[in-house]
Amino acid sequence: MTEIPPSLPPRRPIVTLLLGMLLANLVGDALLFGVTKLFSLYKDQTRGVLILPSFVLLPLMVGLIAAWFYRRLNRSLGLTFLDALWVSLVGLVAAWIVLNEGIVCLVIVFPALYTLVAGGLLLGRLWFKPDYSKLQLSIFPLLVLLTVTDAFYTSPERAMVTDEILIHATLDQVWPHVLAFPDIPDRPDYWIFRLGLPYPTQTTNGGNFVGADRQCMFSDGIVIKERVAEFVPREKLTFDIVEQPTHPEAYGHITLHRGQFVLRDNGNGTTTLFGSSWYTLHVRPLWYFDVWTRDMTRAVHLRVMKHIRRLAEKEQL
Amino acid sequence: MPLLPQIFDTMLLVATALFDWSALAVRESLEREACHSLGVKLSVHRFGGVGFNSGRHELAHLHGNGLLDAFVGVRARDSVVRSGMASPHHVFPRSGWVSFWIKTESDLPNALELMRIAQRYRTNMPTAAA
Repeated sequence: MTEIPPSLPPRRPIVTLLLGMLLANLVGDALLFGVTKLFSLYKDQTRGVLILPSFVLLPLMVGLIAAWFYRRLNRSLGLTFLDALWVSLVGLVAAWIVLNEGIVCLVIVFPALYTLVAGGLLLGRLWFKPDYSKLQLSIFPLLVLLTVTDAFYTSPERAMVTDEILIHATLDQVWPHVLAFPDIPDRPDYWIFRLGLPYPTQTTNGGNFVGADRQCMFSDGIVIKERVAEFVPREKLTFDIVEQPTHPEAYGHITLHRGQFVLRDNGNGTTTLFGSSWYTLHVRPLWYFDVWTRDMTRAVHLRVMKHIRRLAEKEQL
Repeated sequence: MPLLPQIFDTMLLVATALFDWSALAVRESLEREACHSLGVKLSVHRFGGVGFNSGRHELAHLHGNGLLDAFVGVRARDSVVRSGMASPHHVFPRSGWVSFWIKTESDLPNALELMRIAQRYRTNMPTAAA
């Protein structure tokens, strides 16, 4: 049995902890920008596409780097999970300041970021024990390679979300409110709207024909410009998004393509209204961010559709 | 894929921390006791989890969900399983490996004893359970 070398004594633990937090995030950010730059040389894409492929590996690497700094501190499992919290928070603050990310984005990212940073710290806690550190440093070039390679193997996918609502009013009473509606007076009840995600307030209509301009107003003064693509009176309204919203919570992470309302006469004086949206997410892992995006899109749909229902059912009375 | 088993197992450990925080203390006690009383070294296991090694030999590994796999050898396996100390391995029941769930402090003596049996087997000493 080989001799186990004695543990190295911890030196200036507070400084080491702070240094690990800062430098791990600094290296992570540098790699993020490096991969993004490299990617843009080969693909004509915006920055959002680059962030995603790296989303799993980068936080893991940030955790590993922090663990390398903490290797002499003999951190317990419990303290390692606490370390992951501080390292993740520093990363979020950096994203807020440097990348100008919005609060909602940060809230969405945090659970995955924390989990992956904790994963890196837990792996590194064993990997970088004094008698292993030299050998296991090879993990960093491997992770860099995986991160860069991963960035080139992603393709944007178009997703769709559809919601439906039953309205106790006839098609004729519902249709005009689908075309345009005045201010929605209700305060938003969806928790992410309250955190700062813009919510729909009003829609204006430039005409009842294909090619007509529409505008969907959101809170914070955001206007999404749309153009009518399909117009079947009392049945279907489809519009393409012609100008993407510019807001820190959305910019660069999502491309909105199209929206649609479909009405179905139920034959008993009621109408079923379907609302659909098409979008492409530019962040990975897709399965993680799509769960959030679907939830938020559903909240936007339902806020608008409930307002349409209220207006139409008021006429019914 | 490189690192995938380790990442997966680490996610199990994160889930354990989120839903059963007390299990972390038990894991930590096992790591400490195994290093102290058996002189084992800890490592990242090739299939994920923490490996407990004696010299160049692996005695056991502990997964993120608290499942300990120990290599006691084929001969000792049957008596260990019969005595209720452990179950047949969760994937390879006919191998020399056995599995044991570690959930509370009361499971620690059993886990350490399994590692002792594994260590004796690895060093060609007669096993207590054989």
